[in-house]
Amino acid sequence: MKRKKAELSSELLILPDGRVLVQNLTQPMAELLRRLNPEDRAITPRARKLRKP
Amino acid sequence: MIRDLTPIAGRGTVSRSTRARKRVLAAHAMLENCHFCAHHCGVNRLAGERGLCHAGAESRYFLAQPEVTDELELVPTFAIALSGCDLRCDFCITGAESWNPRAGAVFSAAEIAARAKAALQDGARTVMVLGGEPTVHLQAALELVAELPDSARLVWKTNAHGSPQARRLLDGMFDVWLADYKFGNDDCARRLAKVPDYTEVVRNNLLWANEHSELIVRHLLMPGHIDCCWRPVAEWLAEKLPGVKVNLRSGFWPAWKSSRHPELHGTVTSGETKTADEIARSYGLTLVP
Repeated sequence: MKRKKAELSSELLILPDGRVLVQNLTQPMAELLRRLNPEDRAITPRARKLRKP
Repeated sequence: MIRDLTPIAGRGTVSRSTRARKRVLAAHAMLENCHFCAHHCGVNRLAGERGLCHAGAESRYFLAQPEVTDELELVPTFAIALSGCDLRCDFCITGAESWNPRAGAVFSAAEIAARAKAALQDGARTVMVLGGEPTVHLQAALELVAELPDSARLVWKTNAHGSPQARRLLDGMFDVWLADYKFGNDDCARRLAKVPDYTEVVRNNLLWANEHSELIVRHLLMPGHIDCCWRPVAEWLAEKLPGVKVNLRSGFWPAWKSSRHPELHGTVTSGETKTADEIARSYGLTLVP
């Protein structure tokens, strides 16, 4: 798929044991993952918003 | 601590951007006889010759966006991923772009710098140059530095397989070196990434980076490589770089050509992660999230 220049991109790998691995984590994706699992200590501090998301 | 060249900006001397601009010329000249990385191919990239990284004179990028993936003290960052790499890690998570310097779009320092500056204004804490491996596009990276404000906090995310010639051009350009130490021995490096003399090259670069910038060392745990790779890496870091920040990453996934290696078919087990943490603790490493 051709990607638009300004488009944000993250990749997720969901494992059978429920773990979610991510690369190129953007803030909107971090916020989504934080909502899914607010107790994830790796994600929560990364879900801080940029001033102009 | 050893510092070379001119003093840094803000001390009444030549600014980083000005020094970068001058070094762009030197880096471009080096494309005629490329020794950016420790393979020392010596090819003339300006004349169309290609070394092990296959990169030519043109630089391309496959990603440029604000991200929060990296170390907490560095994010949000504006990440710029240049296409192409001098290593051939079969487990590379961006293999299609890292093994192909013609992937992505043509790199324009002015355009990317404008986007980076906008991200900084919007709250990004750093600008991170990565790959692939950015060392193979050193001239493009310096062009970018020349376009960025001297106050910007710049991160050089590298496989630490650059040459001494590259180090000289990089000195004083980046505030933080975020450097991989992937393999604990040369056999694993040769088998998984087709790189000779890995250990000596990486250690020299890490020691240099620690003297010339802030340094964060990364190690990606790989399934089946805790004792052969992580343990000797941890031991060396504890002995030679005590107190250095270490990010121990457990998010290996069997990407790209991992299936060539039976032990890389899966992810790191919870038992391996636990053992790796115990090793880190036993050597007193300073782990950072």
